[in-house]
Amino acid sequence: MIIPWLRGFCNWQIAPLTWAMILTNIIIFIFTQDLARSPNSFGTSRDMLITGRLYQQYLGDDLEEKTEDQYILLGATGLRDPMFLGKALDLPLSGDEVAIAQWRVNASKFLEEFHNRSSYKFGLSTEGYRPLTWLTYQFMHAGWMHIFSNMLLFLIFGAALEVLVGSQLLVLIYLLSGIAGGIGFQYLGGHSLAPMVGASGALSGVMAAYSVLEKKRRVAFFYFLSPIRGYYGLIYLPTLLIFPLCFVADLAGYLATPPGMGGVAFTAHIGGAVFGTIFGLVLRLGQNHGVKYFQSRSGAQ
Amino acid sequence: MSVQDFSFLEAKDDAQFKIAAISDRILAFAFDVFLFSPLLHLSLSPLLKKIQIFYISAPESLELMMLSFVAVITLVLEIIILQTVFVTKWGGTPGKLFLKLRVVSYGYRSPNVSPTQAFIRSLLWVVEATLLFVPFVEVLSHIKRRALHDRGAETMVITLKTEGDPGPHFVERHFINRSLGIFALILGAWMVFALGKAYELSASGTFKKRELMNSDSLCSVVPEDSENRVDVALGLYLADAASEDCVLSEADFALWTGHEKQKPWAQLAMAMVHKDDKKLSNAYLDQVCGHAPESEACALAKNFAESLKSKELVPQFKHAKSLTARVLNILKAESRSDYVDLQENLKQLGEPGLEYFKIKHQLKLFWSQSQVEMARGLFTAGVLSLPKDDRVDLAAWLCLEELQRDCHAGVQAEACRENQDLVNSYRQQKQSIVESQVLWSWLKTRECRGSSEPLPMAFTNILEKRSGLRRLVEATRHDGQMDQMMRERVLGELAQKETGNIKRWAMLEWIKSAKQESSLEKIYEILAETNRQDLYWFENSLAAFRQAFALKKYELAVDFSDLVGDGHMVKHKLLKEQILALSEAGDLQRAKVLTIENKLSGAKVNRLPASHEGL
Repeated sequence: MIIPWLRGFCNWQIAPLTWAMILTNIIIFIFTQDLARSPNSFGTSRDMLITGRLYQQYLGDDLEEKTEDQYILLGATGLRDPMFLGKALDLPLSGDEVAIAQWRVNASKFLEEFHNRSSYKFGLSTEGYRPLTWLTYQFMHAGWMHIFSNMLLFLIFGAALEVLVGSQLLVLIYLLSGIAGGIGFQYLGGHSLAPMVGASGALSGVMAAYSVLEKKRRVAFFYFLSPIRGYYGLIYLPTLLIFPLCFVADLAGYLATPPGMGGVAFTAHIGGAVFGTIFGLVLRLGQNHGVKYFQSRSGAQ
Repeated sequence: MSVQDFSFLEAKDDAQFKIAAISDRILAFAFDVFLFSPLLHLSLSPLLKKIQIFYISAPESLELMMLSFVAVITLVLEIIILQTVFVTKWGGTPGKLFLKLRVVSYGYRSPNVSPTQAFIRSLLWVVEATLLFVPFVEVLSHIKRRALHDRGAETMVITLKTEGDPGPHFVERHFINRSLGIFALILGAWMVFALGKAYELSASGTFKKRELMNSDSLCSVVPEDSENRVDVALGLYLADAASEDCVLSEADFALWTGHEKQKPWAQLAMAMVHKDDKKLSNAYLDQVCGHAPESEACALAKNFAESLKSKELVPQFKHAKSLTARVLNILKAESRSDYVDLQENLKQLGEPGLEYFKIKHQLKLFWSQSQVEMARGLFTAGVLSLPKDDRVDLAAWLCLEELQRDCHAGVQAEACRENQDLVNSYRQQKQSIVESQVLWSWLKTRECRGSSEPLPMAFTNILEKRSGLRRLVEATRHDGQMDQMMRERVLGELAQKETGNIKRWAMLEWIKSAKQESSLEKIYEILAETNRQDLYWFENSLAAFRQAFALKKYELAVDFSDLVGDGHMVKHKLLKEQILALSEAGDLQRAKVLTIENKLSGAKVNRLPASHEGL
């Protein structure tokens, strides 16, 4: 087990805005808990199985028989395809007519329920144009593990960046990186019915900016192999190593994931990271050329 | 970082090297994984993307196999190249360099590792990794912490830190070496066994059959050469010889893969399996005749739809060709106590997988024809050779019939002894019994024996799960707390609200224990309304008549006798004997008995199951 270590970042007075944003994210998450639940009307494996079979027909597949698990997987992919669900309700589909008729009823209920969920209302989707969601999606999370991992990393890198550039710039980097992540999701990710939620795009930007500004800094990680002495402790990894690796991992994830599949928005990470890097470089350039604002920030530290 | 960093290692004596600690080596490995996995992932990403697409769209395609093979080979080559280059050029992978570890030649004049050594080392490392990293455990036991890849390449891992690893304790070394030896032995034995099995399967050509059995979309109990797989699956399902999943998988396959000929059968199967959901069942039935209005499946669907509406038994399906229709005919003949038809239909049944179904019905046929010894012989010869789970139900059924026939002699019958043995075997194996019929026949055996043996723990589970059965057992306990009025009320409720066996047993117990006139009147109403072709209707009506007579409720007895007479299921002479035997000599009563006799004289048709002749 190896996790980033919080030493030095736990004091909220050092980075009040980072803590405030974490709190905001948690409060919003608590009030939008329905994200973690599947819509009731379309949750059975039988529904997913039929969705998979129909999606196979929709794709014009050669009707090669698959295993049940593969159909369920295909069904999950089909549900993310906004074009499919929209058309499937009217398309002439062949197979078990009774099951298809029941499926159409369930699918239309699912769509109705889906449009009433917080993830759809506040999440960023490739379906339709809703400008506010470019901001709101950054404060939404899909589950406890999602928010925990994001906020843990934000606490480390957000606090470190806040100390470096101040609260105002941190907010700016966070929001603009989130928007850049949204652009990545919209233009690189392809069409998907599943809306994007989470602070990871913004977080990638924050991490990238920090890595560019503090490339020689080392971040502490706690490792635990066994309770025997020598098998646990802290290890310090250079910032310039962590960020490029994260970027490469995201790039690999993006390139390895077929369109419409996978639960991680790699494209948003890439978008956020590109913006964060550019922003960090601009800040460095500003510092090097004695821009007044950055000088005052440096003086304040 | 380069080999010059450890130029002090020029010493000839290897003993001067400080052995690297295991924790450092594990951390170095974790660091390498952290560093290289994104890069390796990136290099393989186009292949991984294609693999995922093919896994969903064409899981059995050659492309998927080729892609997977190329991905694995690429990964292995990348690992070997990276390790070889880093170890040759810098004396260790980045993780090792970060933790101040170095790979050096062991037993050579120069500590520098040659490219050949580095290549062999990484090749062996990959082999060990494919064996789930188990050979790496050797670093725990080797005195110089050298696992197979280090020994094979004549290298060792040292540390540049001030303190080295002291090496394993000899007890630790001994223990790990022995454990690895045992593991190797087990692995070797398993590989020999697996190879032998694979050889046998290949030689006998049963690979394809096993593949079919493991397939999700086909049911293994349906013979491979069946022309209409769904019909066979449905027939087997109706005969309790195939599971619901089996018939559903066959039906699903036919519906979704465009097997037009089998489609009506698949829809019929869906309707029959989902018969409890009437809306869904009817939706499937509506589809059946749309595809093939002249087919046997359509006729069966109409037949089935009729039975769903009326709850009445539908007529026999004549000239049946399909297995489903033939099995249904048997079930219908049995439920109508039409043993002539049952015998005819049983003759036509020869499909594999229906042995138990045939034996079961043949045995009931013998029993109903009063061929008691034949039935007992078939039970001993045929049923006892069946698997335990198959014979449990039948042993319990036959035992109950034996007890019904003669309470005292019945307990010594083969079926009751077998039932008792099965219960004992479940008790010894601490297994739960799930068949309510087994519990009931065990209770009735105990009652006939006059024993007070406590209820075995094996029945606890079923009593907890089935509240109806639990209430029935409580209501019929002789040492129970229920008073007569409460007992009659509970039994009456069960007889009216429950279904299946519980309803039947509760009804009989209710009739036998009824003391109140209101109970007998209610029983009369129920019997008058229920299906008179039911196998147990006569048994209940006769018992009700006897109970009314014993309680000297002669008017009700007359009503019951009318009922029995109307049902045309009685040999009236026999019943008259029963009446005379039941009556106590007395002019008034005899006069009433004669009235009943006169009423019964109108009974014409003898359809009494022969098993009741001894009543």
